[in-house]
Amino acid sequence: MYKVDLNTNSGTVEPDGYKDPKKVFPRKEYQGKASTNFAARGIKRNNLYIGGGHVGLDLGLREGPSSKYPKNQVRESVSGHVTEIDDTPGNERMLFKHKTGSGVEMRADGTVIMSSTNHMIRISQHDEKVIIEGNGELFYNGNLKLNVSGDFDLNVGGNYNITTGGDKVENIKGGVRQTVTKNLESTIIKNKTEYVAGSMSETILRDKVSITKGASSEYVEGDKEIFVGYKDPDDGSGDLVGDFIITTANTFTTTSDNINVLARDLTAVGDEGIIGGTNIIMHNYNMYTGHSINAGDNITVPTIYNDTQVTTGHMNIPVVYGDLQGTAHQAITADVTNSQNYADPVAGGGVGADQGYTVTQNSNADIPVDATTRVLDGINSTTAVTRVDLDGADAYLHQGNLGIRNVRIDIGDDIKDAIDKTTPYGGLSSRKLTTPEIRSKMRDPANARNEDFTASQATEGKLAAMWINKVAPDAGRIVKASDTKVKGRTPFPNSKNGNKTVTT
Amino acid sequence: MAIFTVDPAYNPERAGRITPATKLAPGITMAKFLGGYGSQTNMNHITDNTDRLNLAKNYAIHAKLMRHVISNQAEFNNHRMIVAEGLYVPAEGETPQPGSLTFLKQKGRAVVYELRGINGLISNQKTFDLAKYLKDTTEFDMLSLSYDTFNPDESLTVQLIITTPVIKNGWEVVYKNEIETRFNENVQTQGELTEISL
Repeated sequence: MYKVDLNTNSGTVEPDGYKDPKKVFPRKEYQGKASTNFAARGIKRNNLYIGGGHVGLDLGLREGPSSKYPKNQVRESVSGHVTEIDDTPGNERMLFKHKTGSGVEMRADGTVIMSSTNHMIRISQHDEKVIIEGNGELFYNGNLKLNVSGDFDLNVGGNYNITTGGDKVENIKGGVRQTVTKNLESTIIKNKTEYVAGSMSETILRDKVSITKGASSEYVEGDKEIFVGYKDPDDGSGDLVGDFIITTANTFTTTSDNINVLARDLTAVGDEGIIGGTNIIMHNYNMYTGHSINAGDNITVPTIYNDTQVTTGHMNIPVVYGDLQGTAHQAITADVTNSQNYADPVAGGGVGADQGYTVTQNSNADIPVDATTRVLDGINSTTAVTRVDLDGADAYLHQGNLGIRNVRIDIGDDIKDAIDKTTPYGGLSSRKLTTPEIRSKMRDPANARNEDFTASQATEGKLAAMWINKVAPDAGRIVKASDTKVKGRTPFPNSKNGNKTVTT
Repeated sequence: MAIFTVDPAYNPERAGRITPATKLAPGITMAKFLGGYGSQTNMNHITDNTDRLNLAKNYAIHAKLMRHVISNQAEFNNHRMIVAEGLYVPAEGETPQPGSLTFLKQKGRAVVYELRGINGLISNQKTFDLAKYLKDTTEFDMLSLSYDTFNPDESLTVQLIITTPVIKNGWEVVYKNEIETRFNENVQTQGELTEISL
């Protein structure tokens, strides 16, 4: 028994050591009741602040049965700190709780809960080792910064997944080495830009395919080389492997101060156009001209064939304008300048010498010249047709295997729409959305009316068909705005002039 | 008209450059309103700090409201109030309808909350209790108890949407304190909260 001295000032102590100068005991909830702590009797349960789980995170906490007196040893301090050691069967737990709700709890199943209603600070002057046999989930509803002075090694046995709602920024002061055992795939909805101050090297040991739907430009200030194929052996006497094909549907322009085109077998044909220039020297085996040849200086030929000549002899040109030099075959006997081929009628005279000029007469029939056939080694070759008219050019360009490739990429935008969802989603998102994100969009009535958006989400199974229901199926509790009792503001219904207000 | 009382220690006007790490209340930073799982984003697109400050001031009201719930351990100790939809960034070409929730979310004046239990799931009944509690103990422009059946499994989702008034100079605000109930984004009741079930 102790006696409370109500006249005692704070700080003074009764002779038996007890005091209650502020008269806080017994507490309001214990007035008129046994003073044994409610928690000890199972009337009240002291809990740490837990605050619930999170999206996809089940804390897996189950409360045990109420404590049984006298199994639970409870100590509660003046300010409200609590320790409990509970031996109640099924609820064997230990609790060390601060008055704010912070503390440590060990539950009946061995679960340890550490909770802080304010900051949580952990400091170690030496190493820290953590072994968790099960799964782990961390939620930081604020920001997280991880500072590592030394190396940061991350070993993941399974997949390593990163999802960020915003940007990902990497600042690497050293180099980056990445080894990918299988495939590397990246999908970019917007643009990709690379800046390389030094050189860039790419080695591909199998095929490379580059597909561009729009325009493609490449600017090279220095030299550019493209090498295709190989020779085996190197002197070119064996296999020559590698084809290089460039086609363009409209215009192909190559411009340079000096262009060299070299081939063992060269074909350059077209229906119309120009080949040559003022100082171009042309070497060829046969040449077929549909209309005229205009030489500014000389034409030197051993034989001229005419496509209408079918008899022996080699010249049957209807009209020749200008001078002819040399000796015609039929004009040999007219060479009276050098010979006299009859007897001298006067004694003492003599016969003349032989004619001074000769001419070779080739009695072989002319080679019928097929203007569409190449002549090789004196015979018509059947290996190539080189004369190209408009029809032939069209055949080359649009039917042959060397013709123009018809390049049309993603005609219906199916690939684009699979990557960039802007069009199928009615302009509301360029990427796939989760149901919570769809819900967020639907807050705007204009978006909810966007049929492209809602239909595509429903088709993808992200939005239930029931979203269209406008009336709630069932209702439970109802609270009206007028039910609100604002402390110190809402008057009692029967208060005179509304002077008395709700205070608790 | 009322004056919103801001804790000087968390007054965004004194925070300098507003970043996701700017504190708005004990344990509540700007990041909480950026990482809602229904509208995750960052603040990079808001370059002007004045705009960032206006956003932070709007979220300061929400932060205080969240603290109000967290501090009520007796009622909500085993439940967590989380931000499901915070800052809204419209897609390119998308123009939020003025006055709509997406428009207000863009300004930081509307936030969508969920109340999740120990098991991590939304607690429908407790959410109604929370709505009732907020209606009675806090001030706002509009408190919407929002139900929907958008989930592919056609389950019922309940969320709280709280919109706050425009903050004028000196933190002057005018609260409308309106309440409503929505189902699939259609207003079911105005002036009362109705608990909806399937």
